Amino acid sequence: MTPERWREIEHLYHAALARPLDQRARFLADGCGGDEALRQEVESLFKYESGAKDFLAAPPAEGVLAGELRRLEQAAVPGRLVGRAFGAYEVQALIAAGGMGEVYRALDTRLHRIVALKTLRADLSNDPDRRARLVREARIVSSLNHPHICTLHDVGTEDDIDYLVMEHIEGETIQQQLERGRLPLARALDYSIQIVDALEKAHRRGVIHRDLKPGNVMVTKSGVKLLDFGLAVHAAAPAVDEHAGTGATAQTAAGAIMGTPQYIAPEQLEGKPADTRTDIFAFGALAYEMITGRAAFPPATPARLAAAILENDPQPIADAVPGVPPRLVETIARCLCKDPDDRWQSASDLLFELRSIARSAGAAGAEAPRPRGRLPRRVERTLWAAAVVAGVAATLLVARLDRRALPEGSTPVTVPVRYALPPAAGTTLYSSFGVPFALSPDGRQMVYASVATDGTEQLRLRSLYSQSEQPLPGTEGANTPFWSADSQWIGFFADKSLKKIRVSTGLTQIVAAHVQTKGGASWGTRDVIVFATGPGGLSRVAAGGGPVARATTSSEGSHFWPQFLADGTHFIYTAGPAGSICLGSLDDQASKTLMKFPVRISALAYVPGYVFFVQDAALFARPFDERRLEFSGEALRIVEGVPVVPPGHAPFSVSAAGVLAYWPYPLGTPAALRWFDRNGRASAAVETPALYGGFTLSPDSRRVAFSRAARTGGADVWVRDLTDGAETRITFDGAAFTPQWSPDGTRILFSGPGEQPPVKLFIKSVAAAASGAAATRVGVSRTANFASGWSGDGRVIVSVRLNPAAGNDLWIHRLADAVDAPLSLINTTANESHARVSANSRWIAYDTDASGRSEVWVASFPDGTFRHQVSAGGGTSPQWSQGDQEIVFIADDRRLMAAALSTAPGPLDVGPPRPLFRIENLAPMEPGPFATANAYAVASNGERFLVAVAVRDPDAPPISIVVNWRALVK
Amino acid sequence: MLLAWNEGDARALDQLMPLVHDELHLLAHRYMAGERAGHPLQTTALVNEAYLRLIDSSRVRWQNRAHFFAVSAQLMRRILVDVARARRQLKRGGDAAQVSLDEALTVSSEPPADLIALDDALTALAAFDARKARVVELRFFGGLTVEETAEVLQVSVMTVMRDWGLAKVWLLRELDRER
Repeated sequence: MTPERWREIEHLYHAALARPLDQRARFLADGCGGDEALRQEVESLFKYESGAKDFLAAPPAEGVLAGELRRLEQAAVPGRLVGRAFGAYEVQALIAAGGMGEVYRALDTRLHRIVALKTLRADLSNDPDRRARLVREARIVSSLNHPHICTLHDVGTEDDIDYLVMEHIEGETIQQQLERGRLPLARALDYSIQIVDALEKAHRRGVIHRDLKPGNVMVTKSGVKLLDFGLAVHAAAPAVDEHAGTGATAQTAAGAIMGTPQYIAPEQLEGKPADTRTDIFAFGALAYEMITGRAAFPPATPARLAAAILENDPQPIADAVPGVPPRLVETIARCLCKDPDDRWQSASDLLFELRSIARSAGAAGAEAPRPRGRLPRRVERTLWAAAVVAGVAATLLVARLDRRALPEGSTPVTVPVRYALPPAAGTTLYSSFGVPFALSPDGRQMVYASVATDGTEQLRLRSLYSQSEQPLPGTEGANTPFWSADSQWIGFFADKSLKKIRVSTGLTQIVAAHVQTKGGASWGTRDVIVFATGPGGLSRVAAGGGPVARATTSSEGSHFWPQFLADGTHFIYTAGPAGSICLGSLDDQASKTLMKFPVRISALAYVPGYVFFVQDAALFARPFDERRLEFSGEALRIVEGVPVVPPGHAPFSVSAAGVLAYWPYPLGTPAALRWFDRNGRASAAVETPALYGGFTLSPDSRRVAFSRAARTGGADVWVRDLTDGAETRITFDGAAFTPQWSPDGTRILFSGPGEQPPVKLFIKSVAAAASGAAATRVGVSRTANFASGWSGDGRVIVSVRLNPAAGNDLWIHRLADAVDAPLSLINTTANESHARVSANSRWIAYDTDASGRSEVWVASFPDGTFRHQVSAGGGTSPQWSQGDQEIVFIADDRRLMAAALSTAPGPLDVGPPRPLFRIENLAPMEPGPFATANAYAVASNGERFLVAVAVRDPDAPPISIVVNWRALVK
Repeated sequence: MLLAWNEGDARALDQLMPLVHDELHLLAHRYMAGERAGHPLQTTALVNEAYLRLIDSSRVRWQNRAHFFAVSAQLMRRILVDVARARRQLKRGGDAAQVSLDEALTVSSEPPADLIALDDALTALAAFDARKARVVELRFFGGLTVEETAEVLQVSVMTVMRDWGLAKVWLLRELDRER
């Protein structure tokens, strides 16, 4: 649907709608001028005309959501109550807006007095428990009648807004005074006494302030007033706040640590309950600040701030202000002891001391008398360093909500923020070939390979900042997208070529032809692309086009997942057989091993300063020093749930701009297993989408053995009874593939995990599997060994061994005497795979790409002297059928072909292959190294076939985005 | 005008979006916990709670009422749809759960529709007619009246009514096809 087309439809629709019903059809026909498609389009829309009236019937204005929105719109804009009536109060002006809510000056119309009306933030009062608590607190606080405590007049709810009405105070806060510099000593002492006097009264009533700070103390004509007892809690019942017991007592139900960041006591940081001595600590910090003009602990990152409060002693008061009586210094120091038990135990003792100091100071600067008794060690320590009480951001320990509790200009929160990014509607991630998405280095966009319901595969571009996304034309069939270092181009592989597309203009160009990759690529700042092509090492090509050359050489296996460093010259990569991360360079072929993978190899990502890799489904980041070209720290665990499929593909992408994308779903093609008869008519067998790594049918065709991946990426072999759906688990260690039934249907040969080599052959009895019997290792091989099949007499096992030097080869293992031997006459320097022996054990069918394209061959078994090509024009994955009378295989165009065999006259005669039917959406058994995995099986001697058909998995999760992964690192 | 509004709106969403999903994660989590525990929480209450947390974020400077409503409607849509998706994630199998629209809103007797399908369909509509998609978003997810919608979008009331009519018809057809 194009916008232009839509305009036409719209125009016609409305015009026709205006006509009487009986004239509509005629009008439409005329108006369409012969454009039948258009007419049908509009007609089809009319069908829904009548139903539309009730569809999405918007809630009336009084509807829940609409009403909420209106209320909230006003709530979101501060000061909205100004000029309005609020219950019995007339709101006159906004005094302050803060984390908890707003404070207005209002007129109490009943008592005709000016009051302070404090409204609580809507979300903090949604909960009936909180409301009850608020009322309870208010009741307690209003019982505190004291000249230095701000009186609480009223508490209630109006228009769904909770509020407190307090004494309106004219004056300024100590904080405001401090902005002009430190307070004169006499005044600081005077205020201190008043504050502690108030505290003493509150404590006697069992009320703890818990949020004492310069901003909460007002100085008025009649003295000091403590504000914001709203956070107070009745101390007599320590569990009155039911969240108190959770170790974060200071938390309200809203989840924020109460107590302003700056003046939190050490025990609060440790999650212990607050008590009267907590207030004394806060007072000590307040007093320190009044006297020195400086905060006790300077604002810093949450972690440092917390550490400072917990461990450091603040700068000595004497350093900041000379001439402060030592007794006062000691008194304040004692307030600031880390251990509450070392502090003044009661406000009244502290008050007595302060008054005493004031009297003697008033006695004309006489020297201070000695402190009574011996001070605890901690106090002595603090004498040398009076606590510079600084703000510990409450966000230190709590996530989201504290952002709002933070006062202006304080340290921003660094918590990781995640969200989900589903693919465009009607598409799924096309994950058959490797990591199907990539974040741009500047973190603004993500490209991903998608497949639509009609089978169209192409790259799509998604902005991370808006919801906009678009398909990229010219990228049909693309896989393994990757970005240029400047985020301007996207490289990808399609049509057996390496191509690139410029994002801003959509211009597509071929960089190199006849290349493929299944192991990733990287585009560095020197405009060179390095990519993995399989055994032999990495390849390189100039991004502008040119010849393909070697970037690394390997004699034992493949190199994967190159990632350029910022200098565009060096790159890291995974060395397969060695199981390590190596460093290579464009300027020379020498490479250096950086580290060994602890468990198995995986894909890599690099952003300046960090190397990312996956182990056991967890993503790690290891700090890397790019100047010295070596790791500079230990690996840090970042996120869980990143599945790895062999040989190490892991779906994640990282951008230097701080964005991380990962997909908690194993790569591969979700498939359903379906029966097809010889005419291609399909019926269901196993519909639930699953990721298969090869499957075969038992000799009686009633059971299927398959390798199926779990969400963590690990795959195991299962046997399923196709008649009743019962499943039996065969392997349990998460790395078993390509199961093959023995001819008598009792055992399964499969490819399983190993150390050297990483893939080995195992046999397990089906009956014994459930009881936990171990599998028997068979065959001895230096390189990875993949299970391919059994001979018809069950005496010999056929496998495919990786041979980096000379292509994959066929080997046999004789069970009787455990002898291994290659099928020398069959093996070529190209790749032989998918070998299956006939039931009579005389022939072996296989495919080989010796001609440059995969073709199916048949040979005499086991000597291989007679060899004959079966397919023409491409063929793979042969299987025996109709009692060895037929070989079926899959042609290049996904058609299932059958070639008849006859042994009379002569050794073997193979007829030309005839097509049986086309398999739409045949699921590739990718991206694993499955040289022996079949995507179909022959049943009932060739009457029908069990085929893996690619389907959409509706439960496939969306990609997860973490917006600031660095927060996870720190 | 629509363009300028979109930019401001996009900026607001830029700042909010990362927070949105963090909240949604928590929201969905609580929703599921409630469901599993046997007493499902009111979607509305949860949604409002999440919405309230987000809207109060001091990061966003509301330009005007229209701006606020526009962003709110989008947010609400995101919240509801993401809850629906998360819920479907949990329930595997053939009978995938559908968050019925009248769970989220007090609506009349219309049959419940699949919120996720609606979201997909709306996105598809936006591809060739952004304004109609906006109208649906504002009216349905935002609960705005026709007049309010006209004010936010700076078009005539008649335009909104026509857009609303055709959009609903198109969506109905689209949802029918998906089925």
